[in-house]
Amino acid sequence: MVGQMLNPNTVAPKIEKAHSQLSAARGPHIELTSDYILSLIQTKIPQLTENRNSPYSGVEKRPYKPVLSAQAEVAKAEAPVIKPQKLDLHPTPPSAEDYEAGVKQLAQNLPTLLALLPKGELRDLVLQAKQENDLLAGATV
Amino acid sequence: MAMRQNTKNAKGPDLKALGLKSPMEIIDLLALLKIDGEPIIKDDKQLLNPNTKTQAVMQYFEDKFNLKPQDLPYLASLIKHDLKHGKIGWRKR
Repeated sequence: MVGQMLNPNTVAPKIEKAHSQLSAARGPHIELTSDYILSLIQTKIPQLTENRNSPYSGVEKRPYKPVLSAQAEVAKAEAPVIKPQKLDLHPTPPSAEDYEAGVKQLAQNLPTLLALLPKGELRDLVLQAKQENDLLAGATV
Repeated sequence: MAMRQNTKNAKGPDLKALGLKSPMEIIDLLALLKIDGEPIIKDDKQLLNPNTKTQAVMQYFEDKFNLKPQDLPYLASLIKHDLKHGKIGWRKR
């Protein structure tokens, strides 16, 4: 009932009982021995704390080696060995005949190149070259 | 870089690397221990308040094993590891 005075003699045993119930309902626990804790403190913790920046300092470091499947191993063994080719940084200049042939080929390809190129500075340059080429061709004819 | 290192040391070990989720997990785990049949937390009221619980756990390990509070994360990590690997187990009351 609200407002009723509580009798300490009746309340105290109830509190005591609730307390014992709470103790009983503590739930599961982990049972250990002091020897186990001491072994952790004396052997494992120093290993972990020898370098506090790295909690894995006590862990054995193994070199990385990728693990390939049997199929990948076979493919690796059968793959052809490709040797890198040396880049010719100073090529010999083309002969006069080769140069002329190259210019002729380029002149023949100019219309195709023009059709492929989008509008822009490069297209204008190619167009100009084609016009000059046509003029030259007309002059020679 | 040196300053960064110092702040890291002041904060303590990397809990994630030790397999722990939070500082309170250390206290919760250690508070559940019963060593040689004796619970670490004897007074149930201490379980209800995180501060008194932490204090009780730290006090117990300092008194019984001379273990400093900064080493408690390592102990909790090792116990959690052994629990996960079945070396030690839970017991019901």
